[in-house]
Order: sequence, then C-alpha cells, then structure tokens
Amino acid sequence: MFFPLAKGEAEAKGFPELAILQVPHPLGSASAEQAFVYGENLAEDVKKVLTERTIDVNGEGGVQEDEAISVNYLPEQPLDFFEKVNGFYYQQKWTDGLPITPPIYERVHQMLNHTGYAPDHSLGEFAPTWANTTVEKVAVNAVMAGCKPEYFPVVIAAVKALLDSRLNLYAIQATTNPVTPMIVVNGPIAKELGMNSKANVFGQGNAVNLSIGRAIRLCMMNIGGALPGEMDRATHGQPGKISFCIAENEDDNPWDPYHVENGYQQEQNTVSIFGVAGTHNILEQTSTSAQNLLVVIAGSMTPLGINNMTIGGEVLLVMSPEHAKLIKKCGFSKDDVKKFLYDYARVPLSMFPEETKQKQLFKRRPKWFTNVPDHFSVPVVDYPEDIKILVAGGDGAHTTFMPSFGASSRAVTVPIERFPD
Amino acid sequence: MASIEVLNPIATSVKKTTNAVSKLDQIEGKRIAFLDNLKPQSDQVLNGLKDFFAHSGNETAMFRKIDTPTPVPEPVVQEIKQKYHAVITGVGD
Repeated sequence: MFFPLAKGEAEAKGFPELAILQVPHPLGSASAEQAFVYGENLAEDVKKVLTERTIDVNGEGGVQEDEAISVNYLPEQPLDFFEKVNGFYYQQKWTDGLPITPPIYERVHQMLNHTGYAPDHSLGEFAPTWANTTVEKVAVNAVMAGCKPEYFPVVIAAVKALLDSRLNLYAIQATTNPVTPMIVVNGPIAKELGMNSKANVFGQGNAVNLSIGRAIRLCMMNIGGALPGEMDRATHGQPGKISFCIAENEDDNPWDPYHVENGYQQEQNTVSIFGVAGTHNILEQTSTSAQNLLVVIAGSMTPLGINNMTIGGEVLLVMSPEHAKLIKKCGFSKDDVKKFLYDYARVPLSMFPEETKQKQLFKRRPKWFTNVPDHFSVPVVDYPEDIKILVAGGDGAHTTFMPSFGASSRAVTVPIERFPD
Repeated sequence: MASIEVLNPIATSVKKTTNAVSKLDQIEGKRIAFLDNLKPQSDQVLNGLKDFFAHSGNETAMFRKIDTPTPVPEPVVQEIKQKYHAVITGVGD
C-alpha cells in the first residue's frame, strides 16, 4: 500500500530506478512464519534488481515549468471566471475540494508585500517530494485559501515551523495515521488579525483561523505533494486536515501563555505547530478540587491504541479557562499539572494484550514494557514535560485531549516576522 | 470573451536531476545490510531475505531504526555506506 509513496519519493529525489518490491498487505497481522516466507519469496527478485538495470536513465532533470495559466471567461456572466478557475484547479488536484480564491497576480503580489523575503526566496524543502518552497508559492496557496495579505506573516512562520526537522513533516505527510499539524498563534497579532481563541475555537465561524489553517494544508498538498490516496497514505484522515488553526486564549489563561513558557516575551508573536492525531473531549463539571479534575483528565488520556501508548512522544491538552482557573486556584502550576498527570495517566501492564506486546511494544517502547514487574503501570508519555498544555475556548467545563504522532514528532515554535517591522 | 492569468500553486522544481542507482556487478562476495523499520513483522520479512543471502555466502548484518518515523541516524548511514555494498529496507506497514 505504500508503493505510490515509495515510488513518488524515489522519483522526487532523482532516483526513479530505485528498486521497489512489495510484500502482501496486511503484514502486521501475518504470523512470524508467514512474514518470513514473504521475505524468502522475494529473495530471487531482490537478487536480480541488485545487479540488473531496470530502466534507462538519461540524466535529464524533470523540472516543471512555472507558467501562469490563462483563463478565458465570459465577462457578462459574473461567476464564469470563478467557476472556470475552480473547475480547472480541482481537475488538476490543486484544491482541497472546496472552492478557492483564484490566485491572480495582483492578489499574490499584495500577499508578497507583507513579507521581507524575495518571491524566489527558499524556505526549505517540503516533504515528501522535497520540493523547493519559495515564498511566492506559499503566497499563491495563501491567496487560494482566502487569506488576506496581512495574514501572510503568520502563514510564512507556520511554513517555517512545518519545515523544522523536529516536527518530522515527512512522517506526518506520508503516514496512515490521521495526524495533522495544528497551528497555534500567540502574541498580540492574534487579536490584531481578529483570530478566535474563545468559544468554538476548533469549529466554524472565524475566517482568519480557517484561512490560515487552510493555506497550510494547500501548501502541504501543492508544494509538499501529499495528495490523498497518493503520497498522503492516511487511512481515515480527520476533519482537521482541511484547516486546523487557533489562537491561545491569553486573556483567560491563569498561567503564562504557551510562547512565554517556551522562552518568548509576552509581546512577541509566535506560531507553534503540534502534530495531533485527533481531538477527544473531556467533560468534568463536578470538580471543586484540582486533584479531582486531574484524575478525570488522566483517566481520559490512556486509551490503549493511541500512538503515544505505542511509541511515546508528546500529548497536548487544551484546557478551557474554567478548568485551568480551578486548577490554578488550587495552587497548581503548569509543571505541577504535568507531574500529576505523568503519575496518574498510566495503564497497568496487564491491560495490554500479548500479541501487541510481543509484536510491537517490546520493540518500540522497550523502556516501559521489558524487564518490568507484572504490577507495573505504563505512562502515556516518557517524561512529564512531554505533556503540553494550552488554554483556549469559551465558557464551559471541558478539556480537549490530543494524542500526537509519537516520539518522532515534536512541537515547534517560531517567531512571526512582520514587514515593515 | 475575456482572459485573466492565474498562477500555478505547485512547486516549480518537484523533480531533481535524475541519477542512476548504483548496481552491483555481481552478488558473490558482496556484503548486504538490512534495515528494519520496526513495523510489526518487518523484521521477519527481512530475516527471510537475510537468510537467503547468508546461505548464498554473503556477509549480512541487520540494523534497526530507533523508531519507525524517525530518520536513520547519520552515523548508521555512514556505517552502512562504508562497510556494505547494498542495503535493503522497507517502508510502510
């Protein structure tokens, strides 16, 4: 099932001749004996491709021309241009399925006026095709997403964070997991742009949140090349893969906001990206103590099948102001919360079934699953600091738990640069 | 009929210069490395292959990733490049 990804990446890296052979899927549920036979059966073919050339290689690059597209339309029909552009872009697989704003030159130019970078400045290589990420291509996708020019510094910062190796964008783009980048904006710029950090923060209704999140997804498809069912191998995906961008609710946060916790000044603007596998609501309305509330939250962080139980890494909690303020009122700092949850968000070893332990957990999280007594309990994260905490949302006694992609992907925070400063 | 130009959103240089994959002149006497991506049963598939080459007289060795989605550490890449003639690995589930 990963053949399109392997082939696409080999071609993108300039090695179309790379030998790729397949074993039957699913492999994980095959017996050890069957899997061994799969290997034996492939051996003669592997031997052959190690010595024989399979295609001609002429040494020429496959650079695609960067040409504007001329669209003819009937001016007497008000929607003709819009529909023609949208029909063509959809056919080319350049959209997320929703109508886009046509990226005419003037709009892209306006976007570029909000950055100090030259249009051809490269922000890096975008996985999984490792394409050159020019500022102009980001601007084209931001226009398509419906961003206003003043949002562009946030989009640029988000792309920089995406391309930071700590996030491991390649794995996020190519996996069968539903994991997707969630963008979080901190600092005064969130209010200046009119971002939502309060009621229904993950939902519909705010054009700034939605268009910035959408711009990032369009970049992931059009620059990174991760098209669903092709190089994006997601089994289910998730709605957050269309757009997932919020601002932290700094007004109602009883602790330091996330960017200050991570070494930035309150008045600095930042973008943080978390690779999240989904959202799980935790409702707890009865607690009058932090301990009571945190026990409920801890108990909601430990399903056996989440990525973190299998491979560790970070998890994210987005607390409503109501939950956060109750915990703070009881004298808990953020670090106290992390320590408490590290101790309580655990699963007894005996709860894990034998096949899962043998085939997966012993190999991928050996620290917690091998050479430990039967009564041992496995924490959802390897360290207390792997529990990340944000405050966002409106009134209500809710916390959202988001498992991540595991230990290979870490949250990244970058400053937002504004031009002119 | 009127006309307006719109810009192309996909990356300008998706593909890089095409290179040939190096091939072995013969299998005999070559050292073959295997890299386990830690997906369930991937080690067994590679063991099946490894046994074949070992029985053919090739020197073989198994390497393991730290974690499936984490890139292979550079020292391991260098060790494989310096000590082995070919590497066989897997992607996906």
